[in-house]
Amino acid sequence: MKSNDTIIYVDDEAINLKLFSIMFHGIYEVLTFESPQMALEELKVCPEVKAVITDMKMPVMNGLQFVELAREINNTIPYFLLSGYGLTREINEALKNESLNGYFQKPFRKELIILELSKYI
Amino acid sequence: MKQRDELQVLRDNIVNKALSLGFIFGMISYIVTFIRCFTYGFDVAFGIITTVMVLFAMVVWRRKKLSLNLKVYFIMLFVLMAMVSGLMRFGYLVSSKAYIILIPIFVSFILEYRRALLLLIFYGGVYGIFGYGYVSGIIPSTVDANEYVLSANAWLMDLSIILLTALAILFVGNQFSQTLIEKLKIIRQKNKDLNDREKRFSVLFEHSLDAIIILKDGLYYEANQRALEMFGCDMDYLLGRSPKVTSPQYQPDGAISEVKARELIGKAMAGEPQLFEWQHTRADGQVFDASISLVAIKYDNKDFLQAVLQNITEKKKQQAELKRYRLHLENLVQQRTEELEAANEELTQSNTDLIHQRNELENTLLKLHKTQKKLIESEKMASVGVLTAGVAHEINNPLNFIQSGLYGLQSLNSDQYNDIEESEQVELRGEIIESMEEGVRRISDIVYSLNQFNRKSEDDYSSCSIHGIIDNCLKILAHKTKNRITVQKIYFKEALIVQGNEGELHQLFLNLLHNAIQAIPNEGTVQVKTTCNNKVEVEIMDSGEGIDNDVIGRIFEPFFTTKEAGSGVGLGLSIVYNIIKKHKGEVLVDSAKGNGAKFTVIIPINYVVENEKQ
Repeated sequence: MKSNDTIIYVDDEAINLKLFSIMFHGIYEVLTFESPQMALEELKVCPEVKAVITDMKMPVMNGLQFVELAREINNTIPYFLLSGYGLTREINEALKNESLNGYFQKPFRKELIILELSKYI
Repeated sequence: MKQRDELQVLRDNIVNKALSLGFIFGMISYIVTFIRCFTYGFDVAFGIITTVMVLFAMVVWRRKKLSLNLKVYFIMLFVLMAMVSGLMRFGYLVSSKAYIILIPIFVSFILEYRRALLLLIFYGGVYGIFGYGYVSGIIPSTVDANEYVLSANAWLMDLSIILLTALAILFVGNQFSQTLIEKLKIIRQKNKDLNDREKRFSVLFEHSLDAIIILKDGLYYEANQRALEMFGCDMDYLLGRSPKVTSPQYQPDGAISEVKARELIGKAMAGEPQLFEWQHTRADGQVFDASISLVAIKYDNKDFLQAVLQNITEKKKQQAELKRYRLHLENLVQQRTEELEAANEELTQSNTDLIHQRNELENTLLKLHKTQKKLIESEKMASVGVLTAGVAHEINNPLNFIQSGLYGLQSLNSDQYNDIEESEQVELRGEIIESMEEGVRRISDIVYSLNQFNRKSEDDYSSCSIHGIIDNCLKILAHKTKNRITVQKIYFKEALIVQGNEGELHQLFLNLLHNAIQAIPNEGTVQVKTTCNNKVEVEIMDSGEGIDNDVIGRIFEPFFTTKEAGSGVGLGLSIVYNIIKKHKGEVLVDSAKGNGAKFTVIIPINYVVENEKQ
């Protein structure tokens, strides 16, 4: 996995985005977005994105809504949810019908993300 | 006795007057005789007269002390002496013979008739003896009649004696006639009084309300009008007939009326007053009851019976009625007593049942209290539970800063950053540490806010900042409002400090704010406005769905909920209400379906001030 794959991380909390980028520097090419809309725009223009990780609670739309929209753009890549919430009914459902490929609980473990992503990248 | 006394007094009076008067005239006669002695010489007769006059003076002087008879006899003696002395000297010519006329008139008033007659005969005898003496020449006539009748002395003597005699008669007559007139007046008055009394008694008799009947020898003798009315007859019907005629054959006790009447009359006549009830028949045959008092009276030396009758038929009827009523009442009382006793027994039984029920109720109440406590606790847990997820997120997020920061620091030290300049790495390290600090700060904040909720025991009061409490609640609820709901805070310019239970006030505002947030399905606004005007007023207004009109009156009721099952037991607003009441405040709600809701919490500042003073 030497070639850095491009992944997208969406979170309305800037600190999260910054720290995420720092810790995965040299592992992934991380594109971070504070708003889901901007991430969607990027998805449209950047087909080399290999995976998307998104926060659940965000302005305008939540993580699941975002994934739904994103799948319309790119349905071939895996989508992961990174949330401070526990598993809710709707998240479970999304996992079951595989619209969501994985779920991480904040505070997350770095290795777990690398492990999960490695399944798809 | 009295009459005799009066007569005695009268006689005494007359005699005393006669003595006084006689003495005055006697003295005149004596002076005339004394003067005459100078002409005819002093003799035995003059000596006697002088002695008599001295005696006379003494008697007059002691007249009040002497007995009547003695005084009368003395007057007689004096008159006799005067007459004898005159006769001895002047014989037929003597003036004092006029006294003989005086004797019967005077003496008869005073003495008994026979004694007066005897005295008269005696006087006449004395006069006769002297007459015989002079006529037969035994007593020599020493006075020349022709000469004597021409002397002034003789005329004066005659005049004094005639006047004395006449005055005596006049006086005595007058005294007696006056006394008689006086007595007659008294007698007339007494007669009149007697008549009046008789009339009065007659009126009393006739107008008595009671019937009065007089019986003589056991027969009707007299009856008043009332009695006649009672028997319904006239006087002739009763007069001379026995009570048998006005009685039925038998009395109610079975006795034969005639026999019983005779017996009662006999007893009454014997001086034993009888009081009894009697059944009578009227002239028309109607029977009536009477109460009769029978008493013996003596009048004009004759024995009578007075019977006073009262018609008691009506009274008897009333008595019978009363007796009937009393019996009825006694029966009623008996009956009621029995009923009451029965009721009492029932009551005692019910009482036992009631005590039993009360005990059960007490137990139930105790259980209820326990359940209520559990429920309140579970409601607290529910509201806390509802928040936990959000709170977890609020903690997990900053925790993520720290975790991610640590990974970042590790990455900086690894091969990952071989391509980055050292100076850039230092900068990144600084940013990582800042982020981690931010995470720690946020966690501390949320933990502090959480701590406020159960910081104090239930009865603990302290100064609480309303703004601080609302801020804490909003912090805990931040995840609920974030990116969805605009929270507008319009705070009063000064800090609002009230004395209260901090934990409870947190619970209060958390509940209200949570409700406001929950009422907004998507996006909206929650406005929190505080003011102070003697009272602290907190308005929490949401742009949510509002409350139905038909449930708005019930929202503070315990266990009332419109939320889905599992969102709490419906005690949220009930707890709010109780907390506000405990703080002597009030809560107002203003809402309409579709127009949001406004809850206004008012906590009086006076109450606050009072507590601060304490």
